[in-house]
This record gives sequence, structure tokens and C-alpha cells, in this order.
Amino acid sequence: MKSRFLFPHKWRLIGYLCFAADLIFAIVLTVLHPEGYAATDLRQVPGPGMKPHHDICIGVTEMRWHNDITILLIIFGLLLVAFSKEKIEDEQISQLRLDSLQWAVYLNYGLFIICVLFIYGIHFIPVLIFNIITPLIFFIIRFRWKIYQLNRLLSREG
Amino acid sequence: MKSRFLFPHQSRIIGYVCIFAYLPIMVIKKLLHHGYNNQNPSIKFADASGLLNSEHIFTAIASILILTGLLFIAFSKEKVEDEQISQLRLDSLQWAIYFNYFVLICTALFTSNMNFCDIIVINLWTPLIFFIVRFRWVIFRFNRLAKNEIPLA
Repeated sequence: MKSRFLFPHKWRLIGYLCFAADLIFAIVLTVLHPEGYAATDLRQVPGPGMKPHHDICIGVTEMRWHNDITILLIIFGLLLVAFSKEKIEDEQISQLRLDSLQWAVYLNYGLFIICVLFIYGIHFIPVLIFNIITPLIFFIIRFRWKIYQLNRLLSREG
Repeated sequence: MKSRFLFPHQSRIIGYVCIFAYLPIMVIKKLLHHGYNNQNPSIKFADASGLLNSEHIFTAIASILILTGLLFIAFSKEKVEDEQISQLRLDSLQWAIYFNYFVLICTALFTSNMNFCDIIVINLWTPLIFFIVRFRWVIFRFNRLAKNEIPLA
């Protein structure tokens, strides 16, 4: 059973670097905009009785640039970490990967249903934004954990 | 290679029923609330912030309906589960996730902030939809290939 659509093993390092860069970027942004730029983002959209202000438009353009960079970085990083080849690719690893991927999809939609039931209105937007990256994060955690368990089992047997 | 975490083969029918129940409900809703969705999403969301109003209950039920439908269709067992089907499933799932993020990145680059709200709502369902389409297509091609090969054997 061959594994298809996977990145080379070394690329995982690049993935971690992207992820770290994105974390630093996010921390810097939080320090610069303590009230949270996702929140200001929504407030800047002119409400029913408000007229759009010139400064606001500039703010939105800057925000857009930040958003694009963060989204690209985090998606590339997580994809590379999630789907880079293992050092040894065998059938068991493939099986673990499929299991974990399916499990991550289930967990993601399970949490989503809980969120739908208990959150509504403007508070739902952060849920949607997190939903972009949660499947990959769940997959990475579960896959790494399974590989760790497998390795421990093998070293104990050997 | 055993397949885990799968629903029984029959549950696919329930899935299709859910989807076919969901589609008319959404169409009727769109007709009744004409123009409601053309509003700015931030106003739309701010409009009704309390839990358990009719709008919230409707959204929750509709989400659960489409989610059950898509999950049942996507992850029900095939009639014959073998290693090749497993392989196809893994390939398709991975492919669907790649494709989904590719589309998401493209839309992130070419839309403005508030339109992006709509995109991430759609993004909830697209991985499953891409997976179903691709998995069904691969199975269809695989079956046709198998049928063509029988006379030769």
C-alpha cells in the first residue's frame, strides 16, 4: 500500500517554522491591538446608522493584509506538519493516518454541533474562524500521539 | 486492514433523506426571507444575539440535519470493504482536505473581510462535499475498470 499525496519528510521542519512564525506574528498583533483585531475588524464595518470613515477604510486594508498573511502561514504550516511523510512509511502508518484523519473530522463536527447549540449571533464568528484550522490540529495531535504510542510499544517489545 | 469508525452501509439512505429534507427547507426559507441574506453579515449576526430564539433553533436544526446527512453519506461502509477501498478513502479524504484549503486560500486572497464571513460558513461543509464527490467518482471509475476486466480474465 503506497502513500500518495504526501510531502517529503524534511518539509515538516518548514511546517513547524511557519507555525512558530505565525504564533509570533499573532502575539505581536495582540500586543499592538490589545482589544483584538478580529473584534475591531467587525466593529469597523459601518453599522445601520454610521457613515464609513476614511480612516476606517485604511484600517481595513491593513487588516486585510494581516489576515491574508496569517491565514496563509498557518494553513501552509499545519498542512506541511500534518501531511509530511514519516521516516518509515508502511501500512500501519497509513492505517493510523486514515484513522486519525477520520477521527479528526468526527471530533471537529462533534464540537461544531455543540457550538451551534450553545452559541449564536456575533459570537459565532470566532467559532467559524477556528473551524478553519481545528480539523488539522486535531489530526496532528491524534496522529502524533498514536505514533508515539506505537513507538513506545515497539521499543518495549524490542 | 480493517476499517474503523464507519457507519453501517444502510445509514447512507438516512444520509440522503436528510440532505433531501434539508434542500427544500433552505429553498423555502430563502423564498420567505427574500433579501435577508443580502444584508451585511455583521448586521445579520447582531440582529439576533440571544440564545433560543426561533432563528437560532432553525439554524441549529438545519446544521444538524445537513451534518448528519453529509457524515452518513461520506462515512458509511461500502458493500464490500477491502484494502483497496480503504486506500481510496484515505486518498480521497486527503485530497479533499488539500483541495478545500487550496480553495480557501484562493478565496482568502481575493475577497474582502465581510465577504469572507460567507466563505467560512460555506467552508464548514466543503471538505465533506469534496470528499463525497471525489470518493464516489473514484469508486465509479474503479467499478467500471473492474467490469471491463472480467471478460479478459
